[in-house]
Amino acid sequence: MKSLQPVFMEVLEEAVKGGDFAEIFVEEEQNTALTCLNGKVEEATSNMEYGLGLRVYNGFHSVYTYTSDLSKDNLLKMARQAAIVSGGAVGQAADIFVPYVFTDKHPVKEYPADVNKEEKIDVLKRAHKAGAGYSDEITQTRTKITDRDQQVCICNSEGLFVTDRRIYTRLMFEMIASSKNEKQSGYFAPGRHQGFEFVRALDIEELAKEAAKTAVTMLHADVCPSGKMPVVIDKGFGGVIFHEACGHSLEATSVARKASVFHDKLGKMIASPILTAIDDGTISHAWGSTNVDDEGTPTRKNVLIENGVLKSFLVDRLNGRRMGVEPTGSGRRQNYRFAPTSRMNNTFIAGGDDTKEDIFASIDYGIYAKNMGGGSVQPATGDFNFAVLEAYMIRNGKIAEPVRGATLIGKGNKIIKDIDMISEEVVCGQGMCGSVSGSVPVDAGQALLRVKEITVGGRG
Amino acid sequence: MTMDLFREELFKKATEKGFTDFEMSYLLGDTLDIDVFNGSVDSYTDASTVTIDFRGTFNGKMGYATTEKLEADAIDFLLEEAKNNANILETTEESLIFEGSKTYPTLETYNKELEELDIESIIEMLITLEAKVKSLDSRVKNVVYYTFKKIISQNGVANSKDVNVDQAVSQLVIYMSISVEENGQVKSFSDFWYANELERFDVDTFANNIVNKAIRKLRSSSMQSGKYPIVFENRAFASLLDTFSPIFSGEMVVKKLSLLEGKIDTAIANEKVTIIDDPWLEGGLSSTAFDSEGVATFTKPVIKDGVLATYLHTLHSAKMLEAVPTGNGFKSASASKVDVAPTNLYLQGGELSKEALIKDIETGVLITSLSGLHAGANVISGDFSLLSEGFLIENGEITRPIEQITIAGNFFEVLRNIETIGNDLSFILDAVGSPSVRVKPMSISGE
Repeated sequence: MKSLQPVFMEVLEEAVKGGDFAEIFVEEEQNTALTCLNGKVEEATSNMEYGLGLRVYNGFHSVYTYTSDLSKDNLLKMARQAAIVSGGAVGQAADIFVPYVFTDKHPVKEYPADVNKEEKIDVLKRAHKAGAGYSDEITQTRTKITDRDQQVCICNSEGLFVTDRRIYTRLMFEMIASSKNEKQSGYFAPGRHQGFEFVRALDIEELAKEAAKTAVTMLHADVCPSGKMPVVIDKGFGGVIFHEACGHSLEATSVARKASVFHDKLGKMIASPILTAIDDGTISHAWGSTNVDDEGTPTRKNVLIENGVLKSFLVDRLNGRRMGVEPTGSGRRQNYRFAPTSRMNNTFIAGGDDTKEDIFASIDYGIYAKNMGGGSVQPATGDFNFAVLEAYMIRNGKIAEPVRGATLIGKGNKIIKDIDMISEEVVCGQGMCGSVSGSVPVDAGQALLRVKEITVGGRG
Repeated sequence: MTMDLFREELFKKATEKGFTDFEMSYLLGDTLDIDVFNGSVDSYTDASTVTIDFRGTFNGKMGYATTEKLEADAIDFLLEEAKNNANILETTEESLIFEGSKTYPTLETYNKELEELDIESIIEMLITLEAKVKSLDSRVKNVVYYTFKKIISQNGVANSKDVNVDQAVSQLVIYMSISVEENGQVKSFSDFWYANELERFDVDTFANNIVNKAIRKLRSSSMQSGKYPIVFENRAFASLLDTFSPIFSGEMVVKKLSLLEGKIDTAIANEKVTIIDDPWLEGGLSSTAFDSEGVATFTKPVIKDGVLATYLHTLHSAKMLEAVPTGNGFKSASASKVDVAPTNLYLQGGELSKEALIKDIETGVLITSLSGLHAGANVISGDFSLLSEGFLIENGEITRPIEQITIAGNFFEVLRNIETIGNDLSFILDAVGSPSVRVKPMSISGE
């Protein structure tokens, strides 16, 4: 990419004739996926993504264009067209690029392309064997490994020039338990911003068995009751509650347009006084981390809520302009086809002082949500939902029978006030978050905590 | 490099490399996306992309690879990767490369006039629409998200058995999301319009509809949990059908992940239910003359009068289940392998108006929207539990707006428990459509 610097400089100079800032994002990505169905390799695919996205700012407005044709002629044509459409006053481009050099927080030992496909397949077969062997009721297994090698180059009219190479590796185990009329699944999908060494460090059999156990338990579970009740949400991906209920509403994407319930609440108490929530893009090897965001801004640890008080939003460049605040290293995009906007990286509720034992003991009748699925939110209203994949009743302070099929709903600005007990140990789970700039990898996490009241949408 | 040249080179080298048969499918897309905010163009995206998918049989196994580079070195990447991928497969498949359909339909999916759109006047119209929406009612708080899209694409399939088909598709979409506020309560509503001709768009109709639908949600509150007769408004049911459309997939049946296995020609829904997959629908968002494997498409019922008529198939699932290919083999954006997808899928309308469906309900709920469909629904078991909104029905009439409820059930049960079907068929942007339907009592969770 460095050899293309003169071309990029010319492109930016052309583009900025129609605005005050221009940015280029180039991406070359190879990703592969291997899937075993019932222990047999049945799908092996390889994708190459390749393209360039050009953005021009004119005050608060932007023009975005992208292409897979990186010939100089095409790029210059694109830049001229973008400048015309942007139609702003002629801006200045920097004369030279100043490369931004950083220490890689996510060093890789084994690049995906260097790992033998047989080794990857072996992991999938081991998972199948362990999962299928857990119980006769496990009738299908789907085990998958995906890896992504994304090389990006970001440069802009301010002279920034930065490159990064991001390696993502993720496993997915799905175990399906069946009876005559029913199928239930258990699911586990760990991922890291790391190479195959991450997979080697996992206890594959244990994870597969956990997924199988969930499937079998849910096969025999009763339907979940409905109503408002206290809920204990387990550590790990349960953090998706914050991601949906609150996280999206703190992104400048909606805050800048005053389309978030929290847009005017900076400095105010918006959550329970024991709640501190953080979004941190710097955590080494975490699934949602990057060295720099997709605008070239270094990522950081952003304390969003501290002891209940709203301290910060997540801000990208353009929305930062609208809001009059500095970007927080949160500008992300799925690939070159999307303009970046503010997104989350690794979002979690910090650990607290309560003990797990006390939390369970405090509940006469409620739900223990052990494994969470995904969810969604409408930032303008704060209405959110998320699915519970594995749950248990709590009766008289003790974990009781398993129940299934529950969705937890509420309003984001209320639920964060209703978190009233938080234990110590924070764990994160991995997911893919979808929004206007596409699908990006994120971590969501928390310690086991109690919500004093949530609407549980069961079938019973 | 041109597409034709790329294909020639690719096919030549594929043979040289030892592929016994092979196929290339491509998509050339041009997207124009205009976002308006507060009276001016906020963002403008104009871009073109190319995606080329290759698959070929090597030593009796099918390998896949995809690229976005229309350049010579991508050809080597495709062939090398496909070969490697073929080699590690452990399931041998007979060749799925299609010999071609006898005839291919000619569909009117492309409006040439869209190549030369007057952008200035479109922008003016979009700004007028935004202003109109904001002016219709003082409770309109914000136009939260608002976009105009023009999509033009060309796609085609060619293979070593002399299939060589292509088609052009165009579509205009306007999507808007607004928020309204009264007494501190904020509600939001999204609406959309799509067609192949801009002349069909009416600013006043769209503005009035979106504002009215948003305003009617104000003063929402929750309701008592319980089991209630339910009327799903058309788009709400369409979103549910969309989420559960994989139950009709032949691939799911082959993988033994389907509860509809072995159920062809048996009653799986109320006899009033006919669900159709219609790739020839005029103006349909997913209308197409052929699928990603080059199979000619045709219109067919998936459920007819309550009876399961057919699964939707790829060449692979059709072969495994000894069925006729249905032209439903498509590639999703992120995967290289062909999988089943419906085209324009809809529940056929009945005779009655939505009001007639509500008329004889003493206490029930009209569900107008469902959220969290990607997470709160289990396609394999059919179970769902979803955040919803709607209206309370009392003595045959809509009385008050409801929010913060979930509706829970099982989709297979819902199909059996459909009692009456309305006449107000409407499609959502995923090309799935439904009229309003009335269903036997279901669980609502609220207070």
